[in-house]
Amino acid sequence: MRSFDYTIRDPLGLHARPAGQIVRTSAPFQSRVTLRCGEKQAESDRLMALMLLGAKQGSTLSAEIEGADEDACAAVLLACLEQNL
Amino acid sequence: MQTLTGKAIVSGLAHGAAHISASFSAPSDTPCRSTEAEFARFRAAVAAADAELAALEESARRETDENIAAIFGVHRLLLTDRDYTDAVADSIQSNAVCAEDAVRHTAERFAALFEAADDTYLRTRATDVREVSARLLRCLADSAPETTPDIPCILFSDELLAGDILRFGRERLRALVCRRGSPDSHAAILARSLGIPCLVCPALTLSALTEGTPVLILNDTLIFAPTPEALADYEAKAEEKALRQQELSALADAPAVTQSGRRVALHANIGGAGDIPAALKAGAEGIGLFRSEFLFLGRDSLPDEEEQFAVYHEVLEAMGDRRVTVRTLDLGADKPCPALSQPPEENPALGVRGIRLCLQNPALFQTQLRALLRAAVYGELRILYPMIDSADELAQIRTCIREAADALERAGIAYRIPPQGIMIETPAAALLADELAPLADFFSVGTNDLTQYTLALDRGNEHLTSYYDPAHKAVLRLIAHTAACAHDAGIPIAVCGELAADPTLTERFLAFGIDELSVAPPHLLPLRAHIRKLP
Repeated sequence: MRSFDYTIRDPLGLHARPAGQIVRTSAPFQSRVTLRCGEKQAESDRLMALMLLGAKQGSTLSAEIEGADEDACAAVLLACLEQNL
Repeated sequence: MQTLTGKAIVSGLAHGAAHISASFSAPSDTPCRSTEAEFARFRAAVAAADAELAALEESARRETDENIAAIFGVHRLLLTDRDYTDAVADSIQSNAVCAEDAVRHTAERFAALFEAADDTYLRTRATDVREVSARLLRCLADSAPETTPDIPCILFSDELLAGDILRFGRERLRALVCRRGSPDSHAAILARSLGIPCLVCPALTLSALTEGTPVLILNDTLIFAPTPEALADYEAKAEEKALRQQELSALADAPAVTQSGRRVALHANIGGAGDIPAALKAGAEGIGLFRSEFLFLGRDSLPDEEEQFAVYHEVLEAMGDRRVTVRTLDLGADKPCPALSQPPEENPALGVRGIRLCLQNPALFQTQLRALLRAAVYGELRILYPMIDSADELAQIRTCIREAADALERAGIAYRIPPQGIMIETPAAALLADELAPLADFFSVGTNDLTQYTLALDRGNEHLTSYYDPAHKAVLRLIAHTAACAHDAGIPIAVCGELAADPTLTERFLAFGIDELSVAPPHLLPLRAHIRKLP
């Protein structure tokens, strides 16, 4: 399992556009990706659940990636967050 | 000929043939076939809806702007979200209902989830969920996408939907008439920016409508099958309006400069981000007054720092490098806010309002100041304080600003302390302008309240209309004095009350040395035209 934390920089927090990008970039991988923010969590393929995390600027997202391609998936996901959030 | 009245969300004149949307006539008593059949219908509808949205996203990208295209992008993601599609499938399975009912119930459940969020952005997404659901229902109703007539028409539908506007395009859609619609929805904002009149008519019934009937829209009025007289009257009005618009639009970018070269800045007064497109179209060089209390009115909970920050940030982004002046919360017992506990007062106009309310409610003030200081990083923000009476109030405000800045510093959140000015709207402030000018970065004259307090009369009292002279000598003298003090201290002065738009006073304001006039968007172009004609 791979995991990392990411602090959100975007003033709008985790809104529809970056949430959509998380869904799209993690889709090709087999690994299961869970994002946590505070008490709530969401799988990376659930757009509404990701948006409903209510993750704002300054909050920390904790990502957990589990699967055969977890290394590649984690790298791509981190890059996606850095670029879009 | 039949006449109906409604509420214009987007005002205007329009004429065309009535076209009745399929969503208006969508039956809710569709018979339910087998669960397998309903699953299949649902999947087919999702595919059809996704194809429609993909085409809309593409055409929006070509025709309007990226923001509208992004809305359809979001709709596509919502449509194919596993939680949503799984929920509909579950509903069909466990409740043995037809696909339409499953879609409706699921949409309401998800819309409710978004509406319950403590974040304005998420709450607005509830409308997106409903729009996606409406599209799915339409796809379930027809196997082919809805027909779009080739001739210009006036669309009659149940709900105001952005998809309808883009499906037709501005050329073929003369106006929209709906049973339900909100002025803040994506659809309304889109219609406003494209100049398509929208009328909300809750009383509209299917039985009153016939496909193809000629229809006239005059702002709040709807006329079916107009008589030749009604039509002639409409045409005369439309021609006059078109001519005026043409003359004025040509001026939007022309500088507000008199014949002798005296320049004045023209800014807009707004209540929210929704007013910005109209302001920019009319050539606003900045926002001279953003009335922040609109964020607080008509709701049971106070907007928190995040919500306020999101709004200020949005406004600054929309205005680019143009200046935006946000007035801090200006509420009192006469503009009640259920979320604030305001004890009733005998003289609300003379009571705990404006800056007094903020200084007496430190948490409230800190929330707004923090949101403003954070937003100031993203554009040319200025803060304006209402109802100032004395230098002492300014000293207290400076302490509050320092407190907000320190808190943000400790939390490691980016901020900037922007220029800060005061409203001159009490006689005290006008009379002490020489003492206050060195303590402020700018002045803004609030003529509405200044007149009320100087003449000691209530503007709302209909028995006093003959006494209410907005250009009263006393008020003008105070403005002239204030302007002179501002210039002695080297600070700019604006007029943002209703008087700013009064063309009979423009020359005098310029003579006083007023640097900026801030008016409601509809006044911008006429005022610019007037200034350019002045000697």
